[in-house]
Amino acid sequence: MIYTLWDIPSINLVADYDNLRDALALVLEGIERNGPQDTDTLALEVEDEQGNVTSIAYGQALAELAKRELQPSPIAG
Amino acid sequence: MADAQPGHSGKRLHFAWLTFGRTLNGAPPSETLTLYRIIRTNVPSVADMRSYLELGIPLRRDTPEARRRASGISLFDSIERARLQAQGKPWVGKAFIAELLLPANQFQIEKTAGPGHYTAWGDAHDILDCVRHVERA
Repeated sequence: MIYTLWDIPSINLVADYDNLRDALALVLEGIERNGPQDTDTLALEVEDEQGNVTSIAYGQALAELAKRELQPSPIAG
Repeated sequence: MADAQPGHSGKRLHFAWLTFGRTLNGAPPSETLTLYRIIRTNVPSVADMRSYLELGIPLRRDTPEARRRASGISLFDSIERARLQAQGKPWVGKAFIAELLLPANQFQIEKTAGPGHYTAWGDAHDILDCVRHVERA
């Protein structure tokens, strides 16, 4: 399995990783570096060994996924 | 240009040459590589052949490798693989696939990233001139 980040306007590959966590880390870096609109042009997919591609998330949903997976959630109470 | 199929004599990609990260610039001048690009309309434009760096999309991590990759465009080694890629990209919408016949001595082309993915570097106008056929994804 390979996780790929794509630039939406140009349909070009941005980066590829062998695990989801590293891919999401780049998403968070982009948000920190370029602002919350950074994922407007970014899409995350996973590709299997047969070349089948599945979209994971893009746009704001990708930002929310990255934050949910990598940023510690506040402890209630 | 929809479904146009001008005659051509370009050779199919020679996989024996291609290993990860290896440039094809040393290929014989007469070699032409056939690669496929996902585009959004049936009339390819210069904009379809631009890198995201050219489009002004900011880098997420500014390293030499990231900047280099961001200045190239994504291509695939077969129309079937390009079609699978397009089908996995709901954000593209109604996609088309352009077949490009790229002279190996005119463009820098490397095997990069996942199976069948290549990156090409060159002037977008020159790359556009290499489109020989467009069909629905």
